[in-house]
Amino acid sequence: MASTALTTLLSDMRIRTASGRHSDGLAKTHTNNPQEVKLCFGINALDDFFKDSSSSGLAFGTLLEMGIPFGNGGRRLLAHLVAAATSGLSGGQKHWCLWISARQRPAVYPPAWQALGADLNLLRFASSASPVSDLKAAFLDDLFRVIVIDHPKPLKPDEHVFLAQCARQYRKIIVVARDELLSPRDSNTAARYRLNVWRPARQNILEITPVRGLHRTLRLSSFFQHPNFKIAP
Amino acid sequence: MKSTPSFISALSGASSPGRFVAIRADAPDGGPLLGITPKVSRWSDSIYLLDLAPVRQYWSHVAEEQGVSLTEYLSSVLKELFTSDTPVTMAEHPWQALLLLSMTTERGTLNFVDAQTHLGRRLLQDITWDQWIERCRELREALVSTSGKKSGTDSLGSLSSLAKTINRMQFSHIRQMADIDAPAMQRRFGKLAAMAWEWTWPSSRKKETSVPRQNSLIKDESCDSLFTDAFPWDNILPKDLPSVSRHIETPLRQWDHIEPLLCEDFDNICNLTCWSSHERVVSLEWVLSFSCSPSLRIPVLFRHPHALHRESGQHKTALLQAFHSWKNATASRLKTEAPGDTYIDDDSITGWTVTIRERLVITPQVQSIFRDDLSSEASQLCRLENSLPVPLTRYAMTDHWTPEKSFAAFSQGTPTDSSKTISFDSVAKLAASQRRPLFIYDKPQPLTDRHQSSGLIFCERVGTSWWSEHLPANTSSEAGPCRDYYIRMTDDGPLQWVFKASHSGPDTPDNSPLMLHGVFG
Repeated sequence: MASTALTTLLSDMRIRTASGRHSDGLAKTHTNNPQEVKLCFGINALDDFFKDSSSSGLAFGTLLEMGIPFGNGGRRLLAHLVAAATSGLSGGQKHWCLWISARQRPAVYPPAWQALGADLNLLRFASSASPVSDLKAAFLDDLFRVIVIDHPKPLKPDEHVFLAQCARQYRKIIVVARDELLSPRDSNTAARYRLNVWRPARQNILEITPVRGLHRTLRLSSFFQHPNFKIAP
Repeated sequence: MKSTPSFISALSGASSPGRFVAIRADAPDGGPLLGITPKVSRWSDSIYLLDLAPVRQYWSHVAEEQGVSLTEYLSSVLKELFTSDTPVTMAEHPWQALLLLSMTTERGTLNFVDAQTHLGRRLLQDITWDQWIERCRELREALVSTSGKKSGTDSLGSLSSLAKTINRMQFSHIRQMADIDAPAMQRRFGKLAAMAWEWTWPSSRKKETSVPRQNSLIKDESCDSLFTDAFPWDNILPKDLPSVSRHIETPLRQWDHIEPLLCEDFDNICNLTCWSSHERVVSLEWVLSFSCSPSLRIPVLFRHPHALHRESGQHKTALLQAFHSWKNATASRLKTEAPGDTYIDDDSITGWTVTIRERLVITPQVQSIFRDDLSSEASQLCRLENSLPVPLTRYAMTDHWTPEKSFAAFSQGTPTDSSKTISFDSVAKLAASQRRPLFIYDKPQPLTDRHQSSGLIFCERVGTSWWSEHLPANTSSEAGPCRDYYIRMTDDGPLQWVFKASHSGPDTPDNSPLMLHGVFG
């Protein structure tokens, strides 16, 4: 069953690649660029956390899986990513972002996103319990360059493969945020990075622990003490 | 298009344009009005009503591209379609739009008035009883003509008794009785007066005990809600509805088999001569016939008017929407299956009819005026939204200071664009929002949390609009002149955004319970 679904999704991509204008144009644009295009969070420590030999930030074309127990403040890091993308903070170019949530309640509070610098004109929210199948057209389109799937339950392995292919093909950053912490045992090889974000008891810090792709742990002072918060222009 | 001539000078102050437009114009059979929205109703010989709900988002995109508001864009288009002195009004209810239209016609100097502007509200208050009763008589006639029989309207009550009472009391303007609520009107003057009164003064529906629910003011964007309302809306339909039928010799059940045939039928529809290639489809009706069960009517709706001809041969967008609609309709059909109807599972499709129910009729006159060629990103977004089974929601800030009312979904209207003018209040609101959570509950709820709190951190004090809000008794704990917001840290649970209703000064002990309002993602 899973393999059938995967075959359908991948065949969709092949058809699109063969006939669509998006993949052709994008593939040329991005493969000709020797340096990886990256998006910065706007938080120096976090950008350096993803630093490789070339530069800081998260590279377009990446599938990132994060274990963030709901309510610990870790999604604020993703809101920073969205803000950086929509405001053109990173590299001066503005990107459309899509935040897909499987959670009906509580709903998003847009003023807080705007206060972090997000441009609400370039940000869309969708609600779906089956994000990959319902929003498939959005993954197979190059409009939204940053897509966050805030999904309490783990996605299927073939869905991860599909997302990773979409990220690579359309040079998107796709983030899957789960409510449970990730374990090395539930191996998801499709994701370039797998990270856990958690808050130690009685401490106002966020600890980012890599499960895959990175090697060191990062400790960030939590949201309401962070010096990087500022009023959006 | 970017200029705002005197024609639209009465628009200033409108934060969100009304859903309905009333226009006094010569437009037989709808004419160019059917190029703006497929929902056009004829009220009298020269008065037409337009429902913008099915196309509001699309025209908002177009207006945004032109750098003007939706209201300004529509007024410019109507000015070019008709004459600059054509009276046009906008309101959230067609009845209000009609009342405003009678006022603007009488005054003569006003051409385009939105009921949500200061001027619009003032004009509504200036309506005289004579005007109001006259409109009510028209309403009675419209109800008779749409229902097609007179017997049902006897229960509507007598307008002459209302006129006599008003004469006896020597009232001239309807605002003099604005305090009267709709149930009271119904008791004294009948259902018709109560309905019209409630549409005129939405706040008159204070007591919901005796007012029939079908009279409720339209709040949502659902096109069908109007038709559950008692308002006599009689849609003008284009002369020919493009339609194709198919009889299937080998019955089908699976989408993979249905899809190519349906694509072929969309091509067949494109080839029909009864509509032009410029026209945009707003909704289709796909009626499936089965071998052993009744036919199934599947509405296929597009979020933005869709150019069917542009996708000839592929019809990717229409097929995706048809697939989502088919999937939902099949699932709900199986859900509602009667216990003995086990045949539905094995039932096969033996034929279908595809009809274009609603479309924007782009006549040459309209075509020359509409500059609906969106930028590549906007048209890409429209195309994508048309392909998805779930809507993409856009939010914008509003001018309200309470957290739950400080934003609005774009689909619920066009909220104030805070990016145009950043006032001191906007900056202050942004500064406050930095300490607020990414997720909030639409209604605060009592905190019932098993996690042990390790402390409350005070954030801010927010005033409530206690003078205008009618809170139910069971939420009295959130009522009060202000709320003191805190971040509640728990040992192993979420970071919560909670508040206590503050009834008194900071030195007075307050035992109000904590209310949960948000979670810091």
